[in-house]
Amino acid sequence: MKTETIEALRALAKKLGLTGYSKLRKDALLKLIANQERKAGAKSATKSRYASARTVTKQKKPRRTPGKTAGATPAKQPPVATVTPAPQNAAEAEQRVESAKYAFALPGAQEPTYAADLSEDIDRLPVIREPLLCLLPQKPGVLHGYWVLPAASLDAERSVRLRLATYVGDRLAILGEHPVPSERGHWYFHVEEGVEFGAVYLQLGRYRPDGEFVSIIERGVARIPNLYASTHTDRRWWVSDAQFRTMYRRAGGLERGKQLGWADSASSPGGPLAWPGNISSQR
Amino acid sequence: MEPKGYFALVLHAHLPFVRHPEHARFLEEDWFFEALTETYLPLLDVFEGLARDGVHFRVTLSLTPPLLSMMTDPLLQQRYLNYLDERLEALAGEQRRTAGDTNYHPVVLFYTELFTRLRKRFVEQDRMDVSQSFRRLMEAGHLEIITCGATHGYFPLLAVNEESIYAQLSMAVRTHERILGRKPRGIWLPECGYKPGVDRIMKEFGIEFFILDSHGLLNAEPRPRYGVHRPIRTPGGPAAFARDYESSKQVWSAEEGYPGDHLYREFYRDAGFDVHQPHIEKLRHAGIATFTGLKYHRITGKTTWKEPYHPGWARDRAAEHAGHFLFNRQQQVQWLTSFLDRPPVILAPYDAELFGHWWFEGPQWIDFLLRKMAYDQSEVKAITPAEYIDWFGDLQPASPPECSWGAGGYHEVWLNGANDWIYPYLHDAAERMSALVQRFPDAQGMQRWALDQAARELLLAQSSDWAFIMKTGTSVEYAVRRQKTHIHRFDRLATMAESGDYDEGYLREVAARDSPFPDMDYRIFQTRPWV
Repeated sequence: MKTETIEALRALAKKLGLTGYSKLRKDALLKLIANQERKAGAKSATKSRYASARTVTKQKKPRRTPGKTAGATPAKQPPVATVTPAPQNAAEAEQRVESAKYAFALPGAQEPTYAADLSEDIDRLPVIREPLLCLLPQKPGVLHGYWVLPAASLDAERSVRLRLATYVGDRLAILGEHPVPSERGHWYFHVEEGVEFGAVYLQLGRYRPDGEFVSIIERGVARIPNLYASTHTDRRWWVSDAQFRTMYRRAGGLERGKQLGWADSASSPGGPLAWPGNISSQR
Repeated sequence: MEPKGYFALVLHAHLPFVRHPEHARFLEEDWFFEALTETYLPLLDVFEGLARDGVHFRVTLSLTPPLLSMMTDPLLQQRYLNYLDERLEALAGEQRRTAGDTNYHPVVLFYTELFTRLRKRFVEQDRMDVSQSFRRLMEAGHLEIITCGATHGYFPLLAVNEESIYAQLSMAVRTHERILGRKPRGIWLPECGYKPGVDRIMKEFGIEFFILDSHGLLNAEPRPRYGVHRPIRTPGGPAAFARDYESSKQVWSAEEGYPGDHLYREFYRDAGFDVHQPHIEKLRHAGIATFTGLKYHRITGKTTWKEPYHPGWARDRAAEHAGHFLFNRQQQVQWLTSFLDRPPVILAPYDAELFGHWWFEGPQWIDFLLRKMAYDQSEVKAITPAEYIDWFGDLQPASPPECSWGAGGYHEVWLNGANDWIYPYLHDAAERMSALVQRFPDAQGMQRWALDQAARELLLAQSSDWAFIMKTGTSVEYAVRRQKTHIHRFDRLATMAESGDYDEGYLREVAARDSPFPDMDYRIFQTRPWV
């Protein structure tokens, strides 16, 4: 900012809503602006205001003003250049670039509307043939179940339940349970970390008065995706633990104690190698 | 001298099928036209230049069936010419507007020359069909073109109905062979979405290899001896390669990534928003200001202040970045060969549209990189995955886990609160279509027509792009509309086939709109290859 001219600094002071700056010397003006920006809060916000003020100043020199080159009709609204926040990691950066394929305007712009084609009422979606029960893994620790049932299957007591279950040896272990209040709906099941799961089943049924669960429909089978590296090595393709760890780390993986996990989980709000089952799945 | 290691550049080129003959101009068709202008044609220029100069290079390119369908569609070909002509007309106005402006007039002249040259090559060299230009490079041995799901359906969430996976693969292999003249050896799994069991189905189609994100190999069972630097043999048979994280990071990283360099062209700054004169406003859609592709500024810095773009400076920077990237791959190969007993492969997959559309100088970077790799060193050599498994076929058997290359590494981009409503309809429709195939194994006449069109609608509804857009928040209304339209049309057509009560006028109109896969056979929705 010290390299700016006194005129540019006065324009910035005006932009910041300051008064009494017109007779100040450059160093006093710098101090006044700095104080005001500190008061205004975050450093990033200050930078942003400084940038826009600088643009305003530069617009006095048409040749250097983007979007206001020689002969241009004055813009009805000032041109907006979006400075999008830097993505947190490679996966987010990739997602941003992939979504740029579908960008037609600056973020937040209104989409054009087109008249309905062929007189089709596309908002009236087809009736799904019931019963339908499905289980889909979303990520390690989270499974998505949905159901579509005949209205008659729901009794007045609303005793129908959805259960997520797995077999541990010969024993059926219940991992989650959810009431079924209406004929159709969905639910994200969160599964705790630390259990060796095989296949996971979704059961729909009701409890008898004696407490026993009677299954009406049982569907699955989903497997919970693996977040961690295997601990097994192949005899023919043996790799030392130290060497594998080195390759794993250089390939973007993370370590937590003896466990090796994949790097992208580091971007989750739970921190490095947080079990995603503990994090909201509706995002 | 034998190289110490190999480098496989893999570009995934894909766009959903967008074609609206019912409108004279349609905004979302511009996705394809922008990608042609900034990515596909510039990449062809680069590859043809390398071939002409006798440079040894190998690139693997996935051309998805929807993209091949659009490249070969006469309506879209003609509309692309209109797109170029509209911009050339606007640029004539821009030349008048910027006359005497030493900052912006050269950029306007740069675009005029670029669009004029692209139009000439599109008409005279590509004969309006760029798929055949890619095919020639494939036949000359420079490109390995691989396939994808028929409409980029996300396999892990469609696999509830195995028929959907077979249908996606059957139509993909058919389209690849019809347009490119040979069966694909490899596949880019849509979004690198893998589910155990899909490997076995791919084997039935003769697919020899596919590509996973890094954790697809790192978390395989048992531990992969070579990490991500050699493929593994999946239980079903095909080889699985994995993305090299280090080379990806050099391009993608917010701190270290190349595309953010201040000399490169700024994506978001566009004449469509900056210039308010009739010759630019003519490019608007339905009166709404949109990107025009005429972008006059360089990134400059992290603020809103943007300096004029200077193509020469940006080109020099692309050369520097290519040298930097190659140097790091040499270092990486030296490190890997210090403890690996077989030649490593560094596989670097990217969305093709990163190069050119997002990172305008990306095709030039590829050009410099492949030339430097061929002439400036001998440690790293360009290769395709198919060549690698032909030369070094003793692969470790291992099972990859369920995974994808989406944010988070699993399925949450395509299954979350913004888009989970679509799956009951998709699964129900797939079950219904499979039942129709069993009920009418040899349909004829109107019934065959209705069933074939129903299968097209279902494939289009399965496109992962709609769920992706609903999640990421760009053009959401259009994605929701497309999703609902294809579900609605499938339902009406399936009902016609079931009841025998046909509305021929409606069927004809729908068939004229949703027209990919002219060789459609509804029997692709069964649990065996139908190619």
